[in-house]
Amino acid sequence: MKKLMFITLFLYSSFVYSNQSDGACKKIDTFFPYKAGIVAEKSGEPEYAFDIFCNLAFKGDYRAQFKLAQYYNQGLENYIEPNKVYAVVWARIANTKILTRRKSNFIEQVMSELPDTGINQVDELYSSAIRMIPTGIRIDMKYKPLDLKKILEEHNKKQQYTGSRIKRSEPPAGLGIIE
Amino acid sequence: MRKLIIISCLMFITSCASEYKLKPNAELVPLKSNEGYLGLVINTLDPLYAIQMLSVETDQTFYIGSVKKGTSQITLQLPEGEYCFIGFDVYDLRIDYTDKGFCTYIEANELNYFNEFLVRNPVTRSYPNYKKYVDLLRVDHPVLCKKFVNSECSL
Repeated sequence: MKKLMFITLFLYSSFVYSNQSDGACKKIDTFFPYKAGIVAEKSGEPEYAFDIFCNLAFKGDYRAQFKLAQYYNQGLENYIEPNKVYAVVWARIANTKILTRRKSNFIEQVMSELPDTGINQVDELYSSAIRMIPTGIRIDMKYKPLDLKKILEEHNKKQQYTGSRIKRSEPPAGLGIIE
Repeated sequence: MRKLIIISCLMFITSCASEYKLKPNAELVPLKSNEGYLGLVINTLDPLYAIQMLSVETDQTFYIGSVKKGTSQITLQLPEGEYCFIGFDVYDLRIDYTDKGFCTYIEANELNYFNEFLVRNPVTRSYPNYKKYVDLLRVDHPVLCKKFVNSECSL
């Protein structure tokens, strides 16, 4: 029961939408890529940056997850309290698929500052959170679904032979698919 | 004659790429405070030439060289900012992706793994496959890999 409450609290404090005064991140309906969070940070709006990263973190952007880890480690004045347990959990989520030395060093450093009870909380939270929160992706562009069948039909219509062995084709519109 | 001109142009373009692209096993030039690495994998059935990137901040387009058919990693040393993979040459055909292609944000002092690009006709797919990149990086740039991934350079 205690474990369940703790996990709920973690999810709540990081994501359940509420007003800014209680320190939780706020729901942002408009799509923002990772770069928007960086711009907000550099423009001296860390609270807004935190909210953008928070939304992206729950969608699986590992960079935003690591940003949350750093925010929770330091705290944001009048916005979020420092929380080393959350910091390590987010960093471990971010480091699950895209392992880097920088994240590993961060985890090691913050873990060394935690008491034994904190380390146990990290393990419990991480094992639950990693089943619910995706990771390992970069959210830089808005996903645009493509009708592959239509693209192929258009492509086949435009394909022609130039007389050489090389087929010359008009590239169809919308070549890129972002996943 | 036409082939000669094309080859000369490709060689010229490829030589321009050396400023950004890390050559396998070459000594690393330390990152400046505003620079980071961009790493990506290209999986292609045909050799690709004049792979072109765009810097969104400066609007500068630049060429990052060529890749043989098969799977190759490309690692670039670039100033922080948003970059897009916008196109390439294949045989005598130029392919330009729509909507600025595939874009990502490069952070300073980081190894920014982009994605693996499965270049096929007519659709290029992009998906994360970090393990493949690290495996290729271990061969081409072991020092960088150990510095930014882990001491074993292994996942």
